[in-house]
Amino acid sequence: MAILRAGPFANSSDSFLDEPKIAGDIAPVNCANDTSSLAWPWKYVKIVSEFNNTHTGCELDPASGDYFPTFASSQSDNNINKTATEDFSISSFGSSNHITSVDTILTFAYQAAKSFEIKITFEGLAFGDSTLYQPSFMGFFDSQSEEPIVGFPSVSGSVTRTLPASIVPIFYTATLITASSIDIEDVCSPKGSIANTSATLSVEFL
Amino acid sequence: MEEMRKAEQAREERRKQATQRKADEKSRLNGVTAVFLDTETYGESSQLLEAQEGNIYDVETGEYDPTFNKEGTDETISNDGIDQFGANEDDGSGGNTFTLDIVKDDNTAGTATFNGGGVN
Repeated sequence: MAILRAGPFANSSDSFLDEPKIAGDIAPVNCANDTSSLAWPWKYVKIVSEFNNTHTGCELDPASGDYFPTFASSQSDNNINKTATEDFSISSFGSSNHITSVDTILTFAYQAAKSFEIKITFEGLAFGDSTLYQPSFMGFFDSQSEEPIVGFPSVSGSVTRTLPASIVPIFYTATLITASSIDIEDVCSPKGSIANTSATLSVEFL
Repeated sequence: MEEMRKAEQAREERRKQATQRKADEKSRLNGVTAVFLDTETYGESSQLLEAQEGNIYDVETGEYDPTFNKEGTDETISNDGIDQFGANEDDGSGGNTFTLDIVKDDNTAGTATFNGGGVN
């Protein structure tokens, strides 16, 4: 039995939304794993959310006469609607002279007359100088994970997921979080070296 | 001569009654199916057009049976009406065609085309 198309975008409460300017919790609704249709292109949302904490220098505490390091934090969120015509991957990078953490997310919705499979391959890396340490969670999880797959300074692997048939839009999200940090060694002198992260999520239609 | 004149008057009266019934039927059809009773719609040789022209009445034999005729016309109208929508689909002249995207049974994207008197 054929299924009438919903979308083109949807969220958890509305299956018929126009394309949003900012994705938010809205995802494009696809025709199962069919990336060949020009009339109904296969779309997903790439979300990269980067947090950085940067050592900027120091300031004097008049009471104690000591110098304390100063930091600046920044947060950037970048949501992009993209089209896939075949297997695809997304990637991200983060860098800071102190702490960087990046959430790399892909999300989409679909309708399907029968179940289909996708394979998600993930690779996250954290690197820096000899003072590298893990500042926060680093790992992979998706809509079907019972628990995350974690690792530091690297986390990698793949999972094969069966996405069930659904008349109404059903959502799938894969998330890879990477994090890296290096110690400050001179309170008043920001390091020239940096902490980096890289993340790649690949989707293969089986 | 008198008998001939009476026979001619009787034929004329039956023609008037038949014309009125056809007009009533035409009005009903317009309301239900939006199919217009003309040659453009039904073609030169359709049975409904013949009925509209009065050709199914045998005024010479006087064996015209209004009840039977009406039932027969209704059946023909019904069949011709359905066929006519099909004809509009084929020649693309119908204005009530719309297409929707669908997920086909094999999970590929397709379309479903609908034809009819419009969306109610």
